[in-house]
Amino acid sequence: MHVLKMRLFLFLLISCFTLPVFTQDLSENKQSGKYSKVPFIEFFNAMEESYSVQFYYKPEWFERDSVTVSFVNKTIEEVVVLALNGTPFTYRIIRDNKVVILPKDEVAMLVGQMFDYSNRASGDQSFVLVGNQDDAGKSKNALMTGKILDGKTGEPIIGAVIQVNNLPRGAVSNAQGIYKLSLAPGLYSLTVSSVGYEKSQSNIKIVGSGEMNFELFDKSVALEDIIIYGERLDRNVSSHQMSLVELDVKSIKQLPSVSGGKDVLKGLTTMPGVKSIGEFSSGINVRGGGEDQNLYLFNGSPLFNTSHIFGLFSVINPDAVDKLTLYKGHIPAIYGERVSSVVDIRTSESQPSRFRVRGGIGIYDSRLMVEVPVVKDKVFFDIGGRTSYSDWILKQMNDYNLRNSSASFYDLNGTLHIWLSKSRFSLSGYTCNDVFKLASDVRYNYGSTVGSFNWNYMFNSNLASYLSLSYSSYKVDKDDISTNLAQSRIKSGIDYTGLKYRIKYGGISNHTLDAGFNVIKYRIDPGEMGPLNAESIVTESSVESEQAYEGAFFINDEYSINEYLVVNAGLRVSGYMNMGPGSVAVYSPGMARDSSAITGYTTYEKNEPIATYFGFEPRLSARIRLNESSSLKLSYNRNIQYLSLVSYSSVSTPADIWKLSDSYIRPLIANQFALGFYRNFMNNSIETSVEVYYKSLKNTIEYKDGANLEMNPDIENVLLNSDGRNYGVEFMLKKNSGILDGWIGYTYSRSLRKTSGEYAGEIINDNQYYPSSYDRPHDFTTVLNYHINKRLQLSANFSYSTGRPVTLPEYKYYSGSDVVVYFSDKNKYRIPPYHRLDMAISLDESLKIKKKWKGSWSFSVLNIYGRKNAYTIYYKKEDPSPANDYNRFSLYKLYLIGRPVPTISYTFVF
Amino acid sequence: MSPRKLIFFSPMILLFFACREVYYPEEVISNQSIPVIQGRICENEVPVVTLSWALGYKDQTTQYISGAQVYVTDDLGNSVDLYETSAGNYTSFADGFKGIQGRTYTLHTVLPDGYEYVSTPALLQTNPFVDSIYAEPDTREFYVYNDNGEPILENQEGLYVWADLSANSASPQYYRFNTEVVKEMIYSLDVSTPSARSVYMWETFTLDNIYSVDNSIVLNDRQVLLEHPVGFLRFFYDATLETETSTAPFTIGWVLIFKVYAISGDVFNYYNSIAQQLNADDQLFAPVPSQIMSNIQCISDQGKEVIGVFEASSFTTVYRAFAFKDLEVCITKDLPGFPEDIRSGSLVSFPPDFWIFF
Repeated sequence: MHVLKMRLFLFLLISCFTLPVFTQDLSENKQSGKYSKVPFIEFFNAMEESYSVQFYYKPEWFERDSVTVSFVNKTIEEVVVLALNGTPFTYRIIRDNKVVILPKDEVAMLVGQMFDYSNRASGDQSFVLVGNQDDAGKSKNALMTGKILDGKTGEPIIGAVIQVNNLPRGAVSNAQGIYKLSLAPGLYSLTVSSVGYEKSQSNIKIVGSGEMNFELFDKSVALEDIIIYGERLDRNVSSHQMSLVELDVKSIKQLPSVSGGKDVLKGLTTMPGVKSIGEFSSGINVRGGGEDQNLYLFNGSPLFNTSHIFGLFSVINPDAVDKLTLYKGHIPAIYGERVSSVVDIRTSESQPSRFRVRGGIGIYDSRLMVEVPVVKDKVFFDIGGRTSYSDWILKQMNDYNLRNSSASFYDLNGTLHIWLSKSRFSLSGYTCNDVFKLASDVRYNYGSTVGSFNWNYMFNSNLASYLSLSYSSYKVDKDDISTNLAQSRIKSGIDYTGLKYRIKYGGISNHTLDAGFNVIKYRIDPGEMGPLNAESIVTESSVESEQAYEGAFFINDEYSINEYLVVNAGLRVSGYMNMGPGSVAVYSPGMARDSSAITGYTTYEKNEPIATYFGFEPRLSARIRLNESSSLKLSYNRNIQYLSLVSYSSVSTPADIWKLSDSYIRPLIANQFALGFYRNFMNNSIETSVEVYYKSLKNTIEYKDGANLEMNPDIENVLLNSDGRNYGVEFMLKKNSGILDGWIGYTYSRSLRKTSGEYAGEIINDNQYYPSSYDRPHDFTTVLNYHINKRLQLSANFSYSTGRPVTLPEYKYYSGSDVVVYFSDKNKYRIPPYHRLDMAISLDESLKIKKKWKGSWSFSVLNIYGRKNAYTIYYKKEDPSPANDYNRFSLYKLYLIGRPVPTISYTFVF
Repeated sequence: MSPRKLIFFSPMILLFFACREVYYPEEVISNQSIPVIQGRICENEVPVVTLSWALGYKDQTTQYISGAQVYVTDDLGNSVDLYETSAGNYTSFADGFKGIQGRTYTLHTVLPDGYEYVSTPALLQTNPFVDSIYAEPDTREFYVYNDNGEPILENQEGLYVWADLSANSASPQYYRFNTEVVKEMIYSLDVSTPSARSVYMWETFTLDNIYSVDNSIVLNDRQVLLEHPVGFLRFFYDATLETETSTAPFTIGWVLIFKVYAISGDVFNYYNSIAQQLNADDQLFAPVPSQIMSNIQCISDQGKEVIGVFEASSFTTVYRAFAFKDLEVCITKDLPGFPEDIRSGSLVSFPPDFWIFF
């Protein structure tokens, strides 16, 4: 036996396949023998003697193996074939009777039948075989498929990522946890990951098409790799989708508490390009857009109010959320209705393996969520709720009116899932209600009811359909309870009914097609007023309701041109019709559109069209992979919105009015361009990105001075059409693993508006561009988590932003004994900059798998250094007092969290 | 009826009182010269106009405009010049040009810098009709401050005063209110002595604000304004004011001189914008700046800013007296008339001629 040194080995290997093979006529030499469990090396030595040949191999290949073979009158070649049968080795006989034993894989790689992209150099030599070994070398491409499962529950993991190390290839599991990965035969190292699970590394050897399943285990065992938010391993680089934020509830757990609990929507405001007006504001502002420019979907149905108690809490129970996706730039063609963003909130679609309860108790609210499996793999449901008890906080306030105020809310949600062989049904419902009473003056009672029915049907692995029926209703009662004789109630609301049908087809190589349509019916009741008690002298009155239909066809294709270029092209064609019954004011031409210019009304019958609009909404995005750790992305979006929120205040409130596009209020249209560069470092443990965007807006709503919006039958004469432009650059640096993880984001952006009125009262700032209420040029946010040990972590969240625009008095004069001010151009000045530091320390749940009841504690302090961030500034007359420095007429700064606010919460699961 | 403004009868909305502080802006740009023109012509009265420059927000001293040419015209082609009687104050000396119902008046102003300003023509309407003025005894919750500057809640007893108006008209009626109150009080000197005597004291104050305006609505084919909040008359007897030689003042009652002016819609808008600005209670969390809605514009340069109002109005005066007995009983007296030029004062032993007894 000749021990093959590496160089000799390679020489022989190459020689075997590049040089002519000369053989001695060994066919004449036939021998017989019988060997039973004889070590290979001993066998080779025996054959060398019997056949006068020399074997060349590496001893370590055969150190532990033995051979059992019996032969009669066989040539050496026949004997070698018998001996190597079923082993991963092959042979070549070359000159001078040299028998060279070689690994089949090496041979395959040498001749280009197989590739080695594995991490074998790191020393790991074990590989899992995919495919039939006998098929080795027969095909150039193999399809590896299988499931990615939760190792503990056996449930499929949706959206898990398989990354082929050293290659820009990968796959993502679908709703059934199934993945497909097409690779050439060879050796690969794979990384399988999903948020909340430990990464799994596997070495595989693909010889042909085959199946391979992966199991992932919960991350609670090792905390080193906590991912702050749900962007997948290198997904930010590999995906064509840009301007995307994906949040998992487990990620939100890393943020300090807001008002004593985790808040999935407020958590979005720590991302670049996403802000809110302030602590008590409802909704979010995405890239300088208004709150109403975001479509919030809860299991496919829209939410028209996203906050409890005027912005203190969001309406979504965090325990109910499985995944939240924010599209703030490129919005796929399957979505429409809004111009700035889509916030797609989904509850869990995974079957629980057992009855499970989880919840939390805070100092302001408590919540509970129950998951119940009914029929294994077929029927399960979840139900949850939340309620508040914040009145006790108000009772502690100095202010008398606040002490005599009350604020409370509740929300309930539930989903029933039925799984059949090819169909998956889900029936989801949500309801909430808020009551907010300000002393003995005003009471707000508002709530939402949302429902959806979804049917997913898998024709085959390439074709699936999705049917969604949705309903959403939002109602507000505003009660004036100040004086007995004048007590009144104004009721308003919006109803939404929708149907969406979509087909997804992946049967064309490198293409994924999405096509479908959706139809929406709107009904808005702007206001209905009546007496609140028998003594009230308020008379009944109402503003005519509005109704409209919106429909759209959409088609989208994601085309992977090659491993470097992916293009996603889509088109959405939307149409809209505002319909009677109704009466529309006719205004005298050549003068400002106000109540004095009304010359009459045009009456429309039921279902008679009042105004129709139609538009094309192209959607385009592309990803250019520069190398395995960086990519360039660009996108273009055109979006049309036929529904707007009318809110005279710079801060939207639950009592604001929704308004449909009509003869005078034209649809809002936005065109957005975006370009981004994404670069990861250190094996994707550090992600960086920079995005620039430009968004033009047409037909945004502005307001005339002194606009009266409440119970106004001709509201169009206090509204102005304006245009806008928003642009900016967003930087993000994120660290996903290690003792310290988190992210830093910085945004420079502008949000500007411009009217184009002809008449006094319709001109703002001389029709020049001015900052909108959402214009905050500099915004910096950092979220950091320090893992003291596997259960204990310290978190900090710091944010800074330019103060938002404000209109201040520049002049004053005396009217009698009163000092009256004259205000500047709109939004000419700014309130002081906003900055705040929150910190939290949390003790995570026990790591013991068998422990039934697991609880975690979180103690946080909001506004550590007691910053009095101005929420608004306004001018007012009051009696002189110490509180106003004995000034009767003063500017006041209102701040909402002016001191450190401690909160504590306990979360449990069993 | 539109929801009542919460301005008057509710305690001042001190939402987030503990989360609010006076704000002093660092820099405010006030480099324009903006004239303030405030004029009025009432029925049977000559027109009066005040001219001044708007102060910068941080300034303190008003600069009046002298040497301007000011005149008022009516729809019959008549015109009258106004003359400056004191700094910035202009009036007419022509008795023949006074406010007449049914006439439409326009104010013209030419400032020394040459710019000319003209008001929207204002119709002097018929007198407003006051259906009734009435009061209800009640309590209100009100914030006061102790010596340490801390807010203290007080429950104050007194009378809520309301007014009802109506008009035979197809279009909304707009009103401005001005209510003077004479408060009658009495206390005794040198009690329990032969020289004991009563002191009759009266105090005059304005109950509402110059920008107290309201409008009517349609009810049963008439324009009505029901339950307009006139004000709150507080009854307060502070026994701690009693001394060895005198008793504490006791409120006998109040005499209301209730004036209501019939104004035009744009004048209503002007005063209403002031009310919104000074009360800033229309929005719950972020009051919207209420810009003054003037009815005067510069015709020399349409881009030139001007602040002001020209009002043509008729008025009705109602005299009414009220006395608070307890939370159940209120005494009311109609008065045919009452002197309107009474200032605060007192008389010993005998009441003044205008004294109202209940």
